[in-house]
Amino acid sequence: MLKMRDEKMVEVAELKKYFWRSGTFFGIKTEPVKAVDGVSFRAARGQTFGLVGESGCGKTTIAKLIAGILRADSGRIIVNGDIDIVFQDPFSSLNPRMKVKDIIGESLLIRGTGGKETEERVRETLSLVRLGDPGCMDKYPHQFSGGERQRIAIARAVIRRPAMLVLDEPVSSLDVSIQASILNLLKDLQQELGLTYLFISHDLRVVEFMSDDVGVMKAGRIVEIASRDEIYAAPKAEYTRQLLASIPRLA
Amino acid sequence: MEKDKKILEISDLTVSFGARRVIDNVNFSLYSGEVLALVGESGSGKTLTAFSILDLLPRTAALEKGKIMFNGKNVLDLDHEEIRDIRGNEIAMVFQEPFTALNPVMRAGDQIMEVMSAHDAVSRKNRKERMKELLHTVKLPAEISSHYPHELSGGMRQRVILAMALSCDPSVLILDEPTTALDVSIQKHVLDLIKQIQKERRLTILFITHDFSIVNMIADRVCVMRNGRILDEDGKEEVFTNPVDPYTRQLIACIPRLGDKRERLPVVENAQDAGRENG
Amino acid sequence: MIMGLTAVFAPFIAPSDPLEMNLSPQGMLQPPSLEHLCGTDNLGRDVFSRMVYGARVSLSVGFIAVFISMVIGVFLGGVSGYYGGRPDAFIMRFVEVMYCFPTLFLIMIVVAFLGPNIVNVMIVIGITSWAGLCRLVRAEFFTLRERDFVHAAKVQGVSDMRVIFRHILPNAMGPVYVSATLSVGAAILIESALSFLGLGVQIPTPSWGNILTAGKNYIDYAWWLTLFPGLAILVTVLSFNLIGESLREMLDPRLRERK
Repeated sequence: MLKMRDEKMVEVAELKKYFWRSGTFFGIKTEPVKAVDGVSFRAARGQTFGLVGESGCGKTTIAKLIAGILRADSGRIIVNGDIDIVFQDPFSSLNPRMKVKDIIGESLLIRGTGGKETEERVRETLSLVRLGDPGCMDKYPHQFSGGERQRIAIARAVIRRPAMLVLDEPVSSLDVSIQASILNLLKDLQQELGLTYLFISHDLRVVEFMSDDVGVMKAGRIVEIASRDEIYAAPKAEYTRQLLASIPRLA
Repeated sequence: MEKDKKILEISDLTVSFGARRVIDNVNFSLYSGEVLALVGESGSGKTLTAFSILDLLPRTAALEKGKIMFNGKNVLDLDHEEIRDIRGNEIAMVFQEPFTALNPVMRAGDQIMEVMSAHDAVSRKNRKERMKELLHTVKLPAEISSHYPHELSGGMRQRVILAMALSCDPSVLILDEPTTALDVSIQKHVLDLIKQIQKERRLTILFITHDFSIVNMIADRVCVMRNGRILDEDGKEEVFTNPVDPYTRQLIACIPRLGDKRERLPVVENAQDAGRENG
Repeated sequence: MIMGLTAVFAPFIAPSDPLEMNLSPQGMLQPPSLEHLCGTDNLGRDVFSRMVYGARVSLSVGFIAVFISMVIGVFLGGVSGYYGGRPDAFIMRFVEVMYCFPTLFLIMIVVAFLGPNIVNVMIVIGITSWAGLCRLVRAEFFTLRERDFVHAAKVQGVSDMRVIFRHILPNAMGPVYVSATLSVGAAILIESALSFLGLGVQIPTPSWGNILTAGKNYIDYAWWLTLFPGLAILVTVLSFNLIGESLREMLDPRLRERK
């Protein structure tokens, strides 16, 4: 059973998203790809809900649906506050032609915050993600390493202090040593800023480390949903058990 | 495990791209019948080291010094014909991306047979038979041979590539992150398959990876690389329980594992981020 | 290589040369000499100075016409590529029509109607050659539109207009610059052709094309009237093409290398 601790941060009910292949000949109806086929879950404020599954299970589609990048075909998404997103690939998620300070500060500027104040906030947020060196602000993304770029992406996501972050495989493209520091950073930020996380990954070990509650996805559906400890110690679904058994163990 | 017969010996290998040393005085050996894991993060030089063995370094790479002895000859000194003879025939390599390693317009079976014809290792009339045997070895149904790569899943493609690699009966197999692009459940099957084939054919395997848990699953000995240098070279148990280099220890420690109760992960000092361009 | 090319066509930028044209009949049809580097034409004017002025004409037509086509092409390509759907379909039909038109004839007809002068020429060339750029930009937009940083901007609430101009466009311009550079060469050729036919720049204002017109009657003995402008056109167009190709080379491997 999901432990609903505090208030709900986000609630998703019977979410569906189908993709039709474009260009049907002679009006023959093709079967749509059911990327998300009736998914429901809740995430509590300040907690991390981990969504785990193999490639093609629909977890990235869910990320885009909740962040508002895609529109669902049916179902409900209720969110109690602002949401922002951090993507998997630190190379393509930052505009290569914009300076770091502009990338991070843009969401403030378009809402009317003055230039000076924005710069202050950017500086402050950069030190929050441990990129405190003042020289960073005027540089371009390609001058940074993968882990640093991901920090920049995180800074961009938290500068307006959203209530919730959708993290779509945020460390999957990073080396293991960097992965550890980014995961630590995410946990620290969660505590400091009271963030709610939707943490999406294919890596069960990372999900276990980060999450309070976990949903296991397969073929567009949630196969099992429970608190983190329950899922990992006593998985009920066959699929979950298979997944756990496939993980190579470290001594 | 066949005792102590050195199949491959790399000494003082040093390779640079311009001013940057990407392989720095690398020394290690491969013994007959063992699985040696070459572990490192991106940019550590592990893939390039493997490429050197088959003389596949890009033209912009400069070999400063070093030898790679195989079958009594220095691979780096061999001419084009001799190298071609070794590649695929005696030392075969499986690359990381199963999607790009296969020719999209050729059927799977044909590609396997093509490798054989390139080396004339198997006579024409036997090739089809052999191809079917190979598919069986990699646990794929024979019908797969008539399929095109895009019709196959990632795991199947990787198995086809494995079949291609085994087609000329090499004594050494180099695998470069063969399961990185695969889902966890498929990964397990492919790794089990590799282990089984290795045992059956007494293959010597150089397994390149960044994932220590895979190392734990499959390796006998381990070499840890960082920035082109070898930091640790030892048996698997030793490297896990008592690594010489602090980097290795930290690297192993910072991996989240199942049942891990830690609230924060230990970090690696001076962790080098890959992908940095011009500072 | 690029440096060499710029050096080659730099002299043609010298049109700020305030040399006056000397209409004195005595100097008629003189072969090239130290005083008149390219000889004089049938009215005694120094061909070299006319060439230099002509350069100004050709280059300005080239740049402005291409600029016009860029503005139109980029705007329409951007709208098409970003929104897709109906606006895209509509604009694309338009593009296809433009492609089918024999532009040279179109230009000649328009110019014949509106009167031949340099401004009309620029506008007409610009208006008829934006189709290629449009397609290029549209293709770039299609790819860029799906990149994560575009999604990220939208999630942050950035308006469509801003996404197009501040995010996607700067990243799409690479191939546009390449294409534009190559188009300058083409534009110069068209202008020369028009002027040669009398539909472009009118005498006495010199343009390489109309110097050639004058020259064609005297080819037998005043070869310099044909050779120099012809050479000028050739070299200039070639330079622009080479610059364009080098630009393309510069941009491509860099894009590939930056994973």
